Amino acid sequence: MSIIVNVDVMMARRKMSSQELAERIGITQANLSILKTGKAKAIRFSTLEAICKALDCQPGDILEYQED
Amino acid sequence: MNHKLRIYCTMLLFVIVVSVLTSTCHTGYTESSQQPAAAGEMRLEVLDSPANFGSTETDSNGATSYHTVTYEVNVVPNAQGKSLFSSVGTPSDNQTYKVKMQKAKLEIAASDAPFGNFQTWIYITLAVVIIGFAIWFLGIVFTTIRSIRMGEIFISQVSKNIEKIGIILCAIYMVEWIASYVVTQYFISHIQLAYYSIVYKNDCNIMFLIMGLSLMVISQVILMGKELKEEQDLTI
Repeated sequence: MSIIVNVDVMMARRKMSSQELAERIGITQANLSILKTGKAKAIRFSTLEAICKALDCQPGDILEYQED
Repeated sequence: MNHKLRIYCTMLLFVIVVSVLTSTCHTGYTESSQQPAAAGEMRLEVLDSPANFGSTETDSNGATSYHTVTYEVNVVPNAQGKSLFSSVGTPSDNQTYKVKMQKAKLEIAASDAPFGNFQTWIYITLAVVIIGFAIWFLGIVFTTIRSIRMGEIFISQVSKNIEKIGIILCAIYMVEWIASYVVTQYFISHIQLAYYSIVYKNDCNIMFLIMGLSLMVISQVILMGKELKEEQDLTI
C-alpha cells in the first residue's frame, strides 16, 4: 500500500508506549497494532484526531504517501 | 461489480424470461419426427385388464409373479382421422367426449420391453451413486445452515457452499433434461403406438434451475458482503 502509517515513529519521538496510546485514543492494542503494521484499510477522522491530540502532531506526521 | 455475479445475474434473468415466455405462449411439444406405424393392423381398443399381464416368473416356492415395465411418455394423435371418444348415459342423456391423450403410461411385459433386460447390478450401482451423492449434498446443506445459524454468514466457506449447492441444482436440472430427452428419443425410435405418436416435452422442473441460479447469485452477494465486513473490521 502506498500510504505509510508512521504512528510508531511518532510514538518513539514522544516516548509513548502502545498501551498508553491505545488507552488515550480509546482503541484496543490489537487495533493499534493493525494500524501500525499497515494492515488497516481505513482510518476514521475521529481516530486520527485522537491520535494527533495524544501525540501532539499533525495528520501529515502520521500518514505519508509513497509511490509503489 | 463482481464478474461472476454479473454472469449469474444474466443467466438467472435469461432463465426467468424464458420460463415466463414458455409458460405463457408455448404449445408444449417439440416437433416429432416419428412416422405412423408401418404396414400391419392398427387397433386402439378398450379391453378388460388381464389379471396376469406381464412376464411370468416362478420362485423356489412355486409362487408365480408377473413383471411389467412402465414408461411415461407424452403423446399426440397422428393425423389419421382417428380419435378416442367416451360415451356414457342413455340416448336421452348421453354424454360424449372426445378424449385427447397427452401423457400416457405404457405398460409392457418385462421380457418384451426395451431396457427390460437391464442387469440388476446396473440398478444397484446407480442407486449407490445416487444415495452417495444425496448424502454428500445434504452434508453441504447441513454445514452451510449450521454456519448461518452460528452467525457466520459473511465467510468464504458459506459463499462457496451456497455456490456449490446452486451448481448442483442446475446440474440436476441439466442431467434430468438430457436424460429425459435421450430416453424419449429412444422411445420415439423403438415404440410404435396405434394412432398416436410419442413426442418430446420438457417436463423437468424449471424451479431447480431458477433456485440454483438464485443461490449462485446469493453466493456472490455473500462474497461481496464478506469483503465489506473485512473492510469494516479493518477500519480503525
